[in-house]
This record gives sequence, structure tokens and C-alpha cells, in this order.
Amino acid sequence: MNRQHRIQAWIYGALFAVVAASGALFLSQYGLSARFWERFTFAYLGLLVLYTWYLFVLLFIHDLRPRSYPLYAGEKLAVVIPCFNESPEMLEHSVRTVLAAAGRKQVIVIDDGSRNGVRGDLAELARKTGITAHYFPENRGKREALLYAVKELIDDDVEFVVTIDSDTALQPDALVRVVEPLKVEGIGASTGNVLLLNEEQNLLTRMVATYYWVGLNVYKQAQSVIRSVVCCSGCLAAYRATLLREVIDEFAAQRFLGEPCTHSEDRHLTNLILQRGFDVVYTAEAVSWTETPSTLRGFLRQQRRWKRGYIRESIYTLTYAWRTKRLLFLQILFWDLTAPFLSFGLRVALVVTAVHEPRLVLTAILPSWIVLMLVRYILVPLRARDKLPGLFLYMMFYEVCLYWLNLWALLTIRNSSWVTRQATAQT
Amino acid sequence: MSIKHRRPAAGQWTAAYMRDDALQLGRYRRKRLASWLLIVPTLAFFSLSLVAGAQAFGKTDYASAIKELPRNQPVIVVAKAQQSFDNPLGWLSDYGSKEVCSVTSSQLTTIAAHYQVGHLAVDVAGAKVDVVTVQGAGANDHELRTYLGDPKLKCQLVRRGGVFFLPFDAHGS
Repeated sequence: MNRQHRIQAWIYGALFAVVAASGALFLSQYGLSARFWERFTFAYLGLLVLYTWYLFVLLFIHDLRPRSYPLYAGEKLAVVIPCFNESPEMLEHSVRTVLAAAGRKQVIVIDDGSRNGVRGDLAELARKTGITAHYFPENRGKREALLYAVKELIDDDVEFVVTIDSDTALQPDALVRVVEPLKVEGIGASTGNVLLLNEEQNLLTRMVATYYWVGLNVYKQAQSVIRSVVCCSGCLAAYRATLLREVIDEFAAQRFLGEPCTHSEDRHLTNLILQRGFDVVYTAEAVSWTETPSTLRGFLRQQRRWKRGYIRESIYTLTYAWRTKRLLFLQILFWDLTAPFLSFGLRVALVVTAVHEPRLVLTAILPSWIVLMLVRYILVPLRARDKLPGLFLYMMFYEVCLYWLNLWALLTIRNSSWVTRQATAQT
Repeated sequence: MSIKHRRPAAGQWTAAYMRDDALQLGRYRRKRLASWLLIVPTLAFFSLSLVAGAQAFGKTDYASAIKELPRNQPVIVVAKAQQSFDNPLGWLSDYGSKEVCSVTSSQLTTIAAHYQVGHLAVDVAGAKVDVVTVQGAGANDHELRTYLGDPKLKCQLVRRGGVFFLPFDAHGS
């Protein structure tokens, strides 16, 4: 175990201590004195206020001085589309939007051992359109697919590599928009906007659409101001080809607590770029479309996987960010990684109050909930009013269900199962 | 927006080309910037209300409880008896809770003879109310009712200030 792995293990252990301390502080008001609990609550609230202002200051800077990038000037791109058990129709749609998108490009699809017969359709599509198709005899995972594409398939004169999911469709200008930031010295990766193809399908997909909107237009946008976006989404991400070649071996060999990592590869790739001192930005104008799980079961599976990846990669960020991205380090240390665990005692207090004094749910908790939403996410009513019902749903769903998945994810972080499409290492 | 239309962020507009789009862009940017006139005061109000809520956190609100009791009668403060059998979670929220009870003058004399008592001045709607604090073994509403033989003794739970702004971040992870 090298030094970085030891630090990761130490931080992972510390998160359990944070949960235990938060629970102990909650109980301290019954056994010792309420003083510690009160001070803890003050400190947490102070942190919340500080973080909220920090976020909005960054968003204000973005509105005041939107960043400008040089225009695309015909540089060669490689678009890599790993695919596993994708529906043939969806894959063809995806490939055709890539081919129709502007930009001088090489299109590569890697079938990662699909067992649903898509391989034949892909071969036919490759024959008709001239794209490069490669087939793994068995499922190896998205990391291996990207590794193979970068090492063996991408042309030498490619300057930027764009990765998209096999269920992603692109706007005609998405490719050129997403690579333009990479023409600025110091920017190593860029990620695009994601909209949902199936937003109107049901209540769940509407809720997820709001979750995406806030995640992109509030959090990712704010991170982009300090050029430290923590995740270049698998739906649409662009990297400097030279940089990608440099990090790809390390990327494919990632291990956490001794276990090989299979999911959240997009977040880890972003981490490796940031670790080398390069900036990562969000480009809202580069628009892609994707599908989200439309059943609760599918959504919860996806969330379990994402939450494990979130914790694991936040821990990874802490191991290097102090040297290259100090603001990001502080943000992850004091809020992103610790807040879900630090707030454990507060949430237990909330549950106790709600159970013991249900009247308070209507007279205090629910109104507070609404106030919180309208203030913390004030950009939703101001800039995406149609997403407001989804915001209410998401916040309630988060408190009742998703929050507790954080604790489950912490406990089961070594589980590398992808848990969708019956595979252990899905693409 | 198509690739032929330079995007605002690129900042490479030509004077001849950008006229219409620039007007739109200007309007869009002005609208976005104007929204901060609403966002900043809202955030400030939110922050101040959190701080104010935090300052009241844990403080006992005798005045509101006393208002619920009959006027012009002596008021005492006792501990709330814990009723863990009635409510499994009761001990969590009842722990350390207090109640104010309205008693008659003769009941107050009886109480003073049996328990340790003290005095507390509480400001209720601008008027000072003398509240008698009752301490010692069995100084809770349940035992007091038994001791006074008055099962209908009117008591009111004293609430402690809490923070209900749910200081959580649903997008934290």
C-alpha cells in the first residue's frame, strides 16, 4: 500500500468518526449537557451560511464576467463511445448525432462484450458510416474500453478526445463547443450540459431533470468559475489527447482499499486531470441529451453507485488538492465530503421531532423546508420555473430516502458492482 | 444556437454580424444581473434568520407557555414527567423538558411546604410575572398531581427554541 492509499484509508476511517461524533453530540444533550449539541449546531449552521455565500459569489462572478474561449478552428477530434448491452436503436441514434455534429472527427465505438446482439447492428452501422468499431469478446468495463481506445485506436494527429455514453445524443454544435475551452492554456478537460430525453415520462424523471439542472447550473457552474469542476460527466466530456495518454494507465489501474475500481470512472479521470494541475471547466453551451432510469428501482441503483463513487473520489481529491487546487480542497474538506456525515445527528434530531411532535411537521418543519428550497435554490424559480415542482419532490425524496444512502454507500464503498444491466463492470 | 452563431462566451463577434444577437445577449445578461437584486437580499435575510434562530436555540420559552394558562393565578415550573411507556421516543424529546402549571394559592402553600421553591421573573407581554420554581425529588407534573390530589391540574409544556431551517444540502452528494 503506497502513501496515497494509506491517506485514503485514513480519511475513509475518519468519515466513520465524523458520523459517530455527530451521533454522540446528539445524545450528549440527554446524558451530559445540551451545551455541546448547541455549539455543534451553531457551527454547522455557520458552515452552511458560509458555503451558501461562497456558492453564490462564484455564480455572481460567472454572471458578471462570463468566460470567453477561442473558437474551434478545425482541430481533429476523436469521439469515443463505449457501449455495453445498449439498445441498437439508441446506439445508432447516438452515433448518427455524433456524425451529424460539427467538427473534424474520428468516431470510435467499442462494444464491451455486449450480450444483447447489438454487435451485429454495430458492425452494420460501421460498414455504412465508416466509423471505427472494436469488439471485446467479454465485458471488461468502461475503463478498459477507454484504455484500449486511447492506446490503440485514436489517430496520432488527434488533439482532443471527446467521450460520450452510448445513450447520449448530441446537439449539432456540442462537439466544437465542448472542445473550445481546451484551446486555452492550462485547461485540461471540459464537460458539457446534459438534458433528459425522457424528462416528461413520469414524476421520477421530472424530479431527476431538476436534480440535473441544479447540479449543472448551480454546482458545476460554480465549480467552473474556480476552474475546478470535479466531474466531467460520462455523457459529454472532452480532454486534451496528450494529457489523456499521460494519465490513462493510472486511470485504468485505480484501486481503493485494495479493490479494483469499476464505476465512477468519469469522476476519477477528472481527478487525474486536476491532480496534474490542469483546470477543468463546464461549458453550458455544449448540449447533450441522455436518458435517466424511469423506475425507482433503477434510479436507486444508479444513486447507490454514484454515492459510492462520490465518497471514494472526494477522498481521492483530498489526497492531492492541497497542492494544486486549494479552494477545491477546502470545499471538499469542509462541505462536500463531510457535510452529509456531519449532519447525521441533526437529521436524527429531525426524525425524533417529527415522530414525537407531528404537529411541528406542519407548523415548522414543512414551512422551513419550503423556505430553504426557495432560498438555497432560488435560481430555479428565477431561471427554470418549470423545474420547481421537481425541486420540491427531489428535496423531499432526498430527506426521506437518498440521504440515508450516503451512510449505506460509506459502509459498502468497496462494493464495485455496477448493479445495472446485469454486469459487474458496465460500460 | 448553431455553430454558425458565435456564442456569447467566445467574445469574437463582428460588428456587422452581431447586431441582433447582441441585442438579445445584452437583454439576457441584464436580466441575469438584475436577478441578483433579488438574490442578494434573499440570501441576506436567510442568513440573518438562521443566525437569529440559532441564538434562540435551546432557550426556554416560558412566556408563550404562561400565556396559555389562566391569568391571575400563581404559576409554578416543574419538570415534565417522562412517559416512556406511552411513547417509545418520548424519553428523547421529554428529557430535561419543563412545564408551567397553574395552581391556586392554597395549592402553592402546600407545594412550598413540601418542595424546595425559588422564584423567577418572566416577561409576559410586557408585564413581569412571578413564577415559582419547584425543585427536589418528585418535582414533576405527574407526582405533583398525585400529591395535590388534583388530576386536572392545568399544565403547559415549555418549548425550547429550535432551528428548523433544515441546514442540509441535498446536492451535497
